[in-house]
This record gives sequence, C-alpha cells and structure tokens, in this order.
Amino acid sequence: MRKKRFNTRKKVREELDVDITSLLDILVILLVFLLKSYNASDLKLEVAKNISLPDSKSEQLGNMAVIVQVSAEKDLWINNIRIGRVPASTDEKLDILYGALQEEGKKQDEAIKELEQTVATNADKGALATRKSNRKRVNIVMDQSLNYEVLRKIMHTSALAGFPEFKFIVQGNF
Amino acid sequence: MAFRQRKKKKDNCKPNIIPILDAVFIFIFFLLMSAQFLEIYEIGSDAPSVKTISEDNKDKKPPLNLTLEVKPNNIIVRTGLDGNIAKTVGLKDGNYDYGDLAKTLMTLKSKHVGETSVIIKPDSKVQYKRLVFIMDTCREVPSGQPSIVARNDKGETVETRELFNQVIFETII
Repeated sequence: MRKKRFNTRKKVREELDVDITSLLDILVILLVFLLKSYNASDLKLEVAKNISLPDSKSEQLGNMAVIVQVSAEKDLWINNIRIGRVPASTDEKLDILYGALQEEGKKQDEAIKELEQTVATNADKGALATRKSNRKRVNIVMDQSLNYEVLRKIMHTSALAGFPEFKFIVQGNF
Repeated sequence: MAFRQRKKKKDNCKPNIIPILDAVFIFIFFLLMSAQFLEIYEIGSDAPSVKTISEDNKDKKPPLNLTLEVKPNNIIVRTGLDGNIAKTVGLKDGNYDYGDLAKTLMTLKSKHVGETSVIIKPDSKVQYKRLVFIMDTCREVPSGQPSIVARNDKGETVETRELFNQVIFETII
C-alpha cells in the first residue's frame, strides 16, 4: 500500500485537438464585415463636436487636403485645430480663417518644394503630383443646420486665401 | 499475388491552416486600421472664374447658362444669357419639390446634352442640408428614371445619366 502511494503516476500525454471551426467562422464574418467597410479614400477625417453631416447620394471618395470644419455653434477648425468662431459681422472675409489658411498654404508650398528637390523614385513622383493637384483644394465639413450665409463666407475666404476648389464633405449611403 | 488488392491506409490527414490563419489575422488588422465606419464622400464645386472669349471662338449655339435661384420658398430655374425663367419649383411637404426640379433639369439636359455646368445662387437663409439635396438633384438622373438619350452638337447619339455635375456657386467672390 505504501509503495503504491509514492508511485509517481505516469501522465498519458494525449495530443490535444482544439476545435477552431467556430473561431474560423467568426474570423470569416469579421473579414467580410471589414471588407465591406473598407474605404480606399486617403481622406482621414475626425468630425469635430456638434457637426452633423448632411446626407447625400454622392459616391465620390474624398481626397486629403486642408479640412475646414464648422460646427452648429459656428466654431471653426482647421485640420482638427480649433481656431475660433465665425463672427456675426456682415464681413464676407473671415480674418481668422484667412490667416490660418494662408499659413497652411505656405506649409504646403514648402512641402512641395522639398519634394521637388528630393524626388527620386516613381512613388515620390506620384506623391508630388497628388500634393500639387490637392494644393488648391479645401474640404468643407459643415453642420447641416447652418445657413448658406456661413458657407458663402467660408468659400469666399478660402478662395481669397488660394483655395478655390471646394469639396463639400457629406455622409453617403442615403 | 497479382490480383491481391493492396489495402490503402487511410491516414487522418489534416491540413496545416496555421499560415492561413496568420495571414487572415494580419489582413484583419490591416482592414481594422483602414476601416471607416462613417461613409464619407465629397461633392465638388469650383469658385467661378472669368474667361475672355474672342469673337472667333464664340459658340455657334447660345450657351444654356443654367442658373438656379434658391429662395426660402421656391427655386427659380433660369436659362439663357437673358436669364429667362424656365420653371419655378415650389415646396412640397415642407421641402422643395425635388422631383419636379429633376424633371425640369432632365428636360433641359435632353435639349443641351453637352452642357455640364449649373450655377447655384442661394439665398443667405437657405439651409446647407437643402443645398446638398439640390446639388444631388442637379448631378444625376434620379434612380428609377430612364437615362437621357439625345443628340449632341456633333450629331452623335449620346446616352447619359449625368445631368449638370459641375456645380458653381455664383455669390462667392
């Protein structure tokens, strides 16, 4: 009896067979869902607070360019940085926006110059061409409840600051 | 001996799916990074530009010069250099009658199939949401409606679903 107690039991090592069928099912569903929501656009947008985008039937993908956002309270953002608020004055030109856009324009010009000097590969050439074609473009993200008066001021100021190609960012799948 | 059939051993052959799983995981991470759950698109518009045309380069056919005057209670569709009123689109259930606007634009497009631009002149009080609807209506034939088939300036038959997709706002500069 005593001998038996101290006998070390030999563990039988069986090959554990984990059934991964259910895991694979989940992965396939996830893959299909993600493939459906895949967006080839290079526009990465973080919609600011209190902005409800208007619905549209448009299916044209956005491109990366300067992003001007205006919330329902008329707060102004440029590339996700708040710069102020649209004043209630009758002036068509918004000075805060004009200054910020000019700064942005200068930055873009410098980036283009740098790229022109260092361009070597075909990929660089492609990047340079994209930057040049988007140089005059401005993505306007505006709350749907705002009036045309605000939009007109934004477009007027953008055009004056050297961004005369307006792209209205809308919500699709309408 | 010659007729003895060899018994085939049935091995429990399992495919090695580990590399496939690895690839699927990497693919999932890539898709998760690039996924955008808010479907965002754009509608393009350019600031109006002025172009001087010499007498020789003038169009033989007078331009359509399609202009939509968007007022709080109606949309006035004007055509031609004189700005003749082609149609006044009213309200329907509190919104503009977009169906009527689309019909008017389709009629105009069938007569001027080569024209692609529309000038929008909204009132200051018009909501941005409504302007987006108007731009959508201007850009293409509504779903459920047949395509437009017409002859262009060269006499060729053209079939299109595009209406006036070059939107210009008149009152910017």
